Amino acid sequence: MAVDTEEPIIRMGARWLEKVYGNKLTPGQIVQVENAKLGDQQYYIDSFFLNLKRLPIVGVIIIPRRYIMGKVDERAFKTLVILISASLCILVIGCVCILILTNGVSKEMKMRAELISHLDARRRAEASNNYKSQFLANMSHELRTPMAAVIGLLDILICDDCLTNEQYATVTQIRKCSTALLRLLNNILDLSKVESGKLVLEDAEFDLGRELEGLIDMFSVQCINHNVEAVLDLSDDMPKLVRGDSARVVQIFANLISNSIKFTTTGHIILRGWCESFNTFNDARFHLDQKKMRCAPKPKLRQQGNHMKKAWKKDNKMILWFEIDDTGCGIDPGKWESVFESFEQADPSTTRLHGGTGLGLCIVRTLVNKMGGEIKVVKKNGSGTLMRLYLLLNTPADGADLHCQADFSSQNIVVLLALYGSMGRVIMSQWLHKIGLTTSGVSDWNELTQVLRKLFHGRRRENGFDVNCSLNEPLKSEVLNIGDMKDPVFIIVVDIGLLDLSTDIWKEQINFLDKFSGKAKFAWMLNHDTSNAIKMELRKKGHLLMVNKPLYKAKMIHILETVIKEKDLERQKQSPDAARAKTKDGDMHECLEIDSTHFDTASSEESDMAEMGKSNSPSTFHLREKRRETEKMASESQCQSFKKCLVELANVDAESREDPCQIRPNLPSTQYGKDMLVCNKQAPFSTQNESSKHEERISESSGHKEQGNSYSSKAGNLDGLRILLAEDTPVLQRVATIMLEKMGAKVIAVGDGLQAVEALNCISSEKDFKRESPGDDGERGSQTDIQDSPRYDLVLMDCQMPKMDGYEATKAIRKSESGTGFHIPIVALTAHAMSSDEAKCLEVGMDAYLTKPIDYKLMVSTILSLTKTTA
Amino acid sequence: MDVLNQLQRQYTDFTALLYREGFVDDNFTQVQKLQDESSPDFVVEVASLFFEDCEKLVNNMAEALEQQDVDFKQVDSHVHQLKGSSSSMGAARIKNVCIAFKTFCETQNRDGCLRCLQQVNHEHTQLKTNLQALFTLERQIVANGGSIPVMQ
Repeated sequence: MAVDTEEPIIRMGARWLEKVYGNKLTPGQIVQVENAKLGDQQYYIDSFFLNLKRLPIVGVIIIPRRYIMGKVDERAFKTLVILISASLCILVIGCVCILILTNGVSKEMKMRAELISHLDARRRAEASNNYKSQFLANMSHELRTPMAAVIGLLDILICDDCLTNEQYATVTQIRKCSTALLRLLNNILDLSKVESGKLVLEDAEFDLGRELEGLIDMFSVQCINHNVEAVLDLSDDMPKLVRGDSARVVQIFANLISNSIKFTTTGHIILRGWCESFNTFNDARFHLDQKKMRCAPKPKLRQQGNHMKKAWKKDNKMILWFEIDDTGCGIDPGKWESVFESFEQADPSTTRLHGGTGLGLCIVRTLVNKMGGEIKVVKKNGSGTLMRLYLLLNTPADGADLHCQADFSSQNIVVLLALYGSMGRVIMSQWLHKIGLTTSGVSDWNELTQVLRKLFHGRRRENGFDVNCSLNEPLKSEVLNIGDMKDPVFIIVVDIGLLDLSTDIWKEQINFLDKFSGKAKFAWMLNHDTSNAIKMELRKKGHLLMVNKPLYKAKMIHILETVIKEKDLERQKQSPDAARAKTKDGDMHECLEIDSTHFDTASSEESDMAEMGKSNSPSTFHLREKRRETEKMASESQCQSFKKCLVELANVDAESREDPCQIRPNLPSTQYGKDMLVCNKQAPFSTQNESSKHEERISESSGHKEQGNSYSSKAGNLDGLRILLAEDTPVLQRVATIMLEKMGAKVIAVGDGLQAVEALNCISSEKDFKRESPGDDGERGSQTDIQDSPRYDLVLMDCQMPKMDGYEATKAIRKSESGTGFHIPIVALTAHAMSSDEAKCLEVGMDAYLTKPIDYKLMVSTILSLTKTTA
Repeated sequence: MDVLNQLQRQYTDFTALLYREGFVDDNFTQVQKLQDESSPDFVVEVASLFFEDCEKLVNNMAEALEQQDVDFKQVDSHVHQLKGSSSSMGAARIKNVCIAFKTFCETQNRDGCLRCLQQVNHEHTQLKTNLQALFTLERQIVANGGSIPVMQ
């Protein structure tokens, strides 16, 4: 059989068939096997049946699968492999992806949850912080009202003549404590305001030099008491006018200087200032500034772009550097950063020894940062503290903003400085030297006499007066140099402290100086407490130039200018001008004094001033009164300077606009103080302050003791004014109407806000008016007037009225005015006297504010001031 | 002449009494000052206006307080008005009662309000009587040919 064949494949095939089918192959059966494994290959085995007549053949064809399906098989295998591996890969990748995804998602969820919780926490923290600040601000505000009242009343009490010494001491003590309390409140309020980000810096022009001078003047009193010298050294290239918030800038320096004073017992305190151009500074600190400029009035980028054209750009930015240098106890270097934190004192015993809360520097740093600057403590040689800060301020348009100084060097002037304080003298003489004047300095009386003798008698005799001369070398050479000059003008600035005031020798000393009065002009530096007797004596001797210490550039320039002018005038006329120059001096300084005392960051020297005021009061009060008289009868220019003082007052007021009761109970003269207290309590708007205070002052000085309420003196004051009165209480309406009509005003009264608005808009016709009017006598006759002259000069608006209250009515009126250029003055009448009401009134657009029951005098003055300013 | 002097003395004493007892205060003086030839009956006018207004307000307040659900805001605004007019009039006592009244309104104390209302009524009647007496005196003085003495 086939199994026995030699061909291996056939044999295997046969055997396989046998195995599978045995011998059961029937003739008709066909075997078709696709993959029979024979040996190591796969074969197709097909059988066929040939049924020949007598020979049934079963043929079997064995074909290796390879021949037919070989490639396919291969391919199939490969495909399978590829497929499987691919699917595995995909599976794996898919799993990985899913894992990543879920991971990512879960992370994001987690982060979101965290973020939300953070935001929430932050919001809560902010809210609580805000609430605290708000609460603090409110409370401080409300607390300040009675505080101010207390201080004002204490002032009045202090000036009472019938107090025993003990009572006086007690009252003064109480006042000191109250002022300290008020100061603390102010500090806290400031801090909370600043921290809550609500501090808005004003942007107005002010004279920086002048402000600082005023500040130094104010502090000089305290300094002199402590035996410390206060010196102001501003460089000449500092701009005269800058834009910014003058009150805050002054506050910064006041804080720093008062700190210095607290901790300095001898030596000096120097306030130096110089400026730098923005460009050179800028390169180093560009991106740092970007972060700090939060309140810049103009976008910084624009500045950057135009820094090339700085000269003729609209607003320049200047970096103003300042240094406060004192010779006090110094600050430990480790604490230089931490002193600026709130409630940090450098030394724990400071609070006990010096008082203070530790808030000052914190406030200073925040303010400085807000103005685009930085402050830090720097190392200095010698003992004491040196604080350096810079501010970024705009200077307004005109490029010629430097001091236009007269050229003194051409005048051939010699200045001899006889001042105690060595630091001040040195700085001043350096500066004088720089501007081209010959200068020399002495520090006590003996030296002064020697130098004078040498200069004047030496010149005459031309041989050097060496006998008693014990001048030191530099002084001698200076004097010799002076001797070489041709016909110079001599100015001798003498410190009143050089005179021996304890005995009567000073009269002799003044007499001694008489010898030289023809050849030199004397300028005297007086203390704040120099007695009148001395001043009289000086004036008698013809020494007309008197200036208060401390001496700084402006005063020096003033002296120089006066002397030059006098010299010029002397060549033409005689004494009247000198006298006028003198009064001009006196009043200018009066003005300066008035300025300085109105800074509301004063420290305890206020009480010192009060004490001083009391001791001086009998004589100086008279003098001050006299000065006021002269001011009243002043010429144009003096009135201008006086008004300028008021303007500065009003500017300083800007800060106290929100704090109506943070006033000036600082002034030692009480009548003045009391009036201002009253004025401020009831008319706190700063636009009001200037003019109404002006009114108060004029009325005060023109009729000193006039307390009469006599309306006759003010009859016809409101002549020709048309006033619209919106008030629903009939009694009040009647009384106010008659009151105003007596003054000559024409009054239209309406009963609610709606009618007020209509009256101003003249919408309603005559008929409506008749119907809606409350039927007041005053109104019937004036209907025609309404039609003829629709414009009113002023509106008195009660705040609580039916139908439409005062606030709504004002809003409506202001809205209707918004298109036109009109702004009718509206005065609020309200029974509430809280600060929030004041704010509300201001918000809706009212111009002034009177409380009920009405003080008619105040009402009249308010009306006058509002209508005069618009007229 | 005798009668006149007597009347004038009576007037002065009575006015002093009114001030001392606190029935009227400085604002009343101001109102008096406003009276002159151009407005001869000013004070009487203002006084009558005031009393009318006061009565009206008192009635409104009584009504409001009688409600089940007292609208304290309403009452408060009435009190405010009364306070305003009484203070401008110089009716010091009424004004003081109003101040107390206001606090009761704020604390929504019905009993307190009712008490104050009664007080206001009482004061109002008293003041009315007093001022009427004052005005009668004034008229008598004028009728007798004299002038009304001015208070400092």
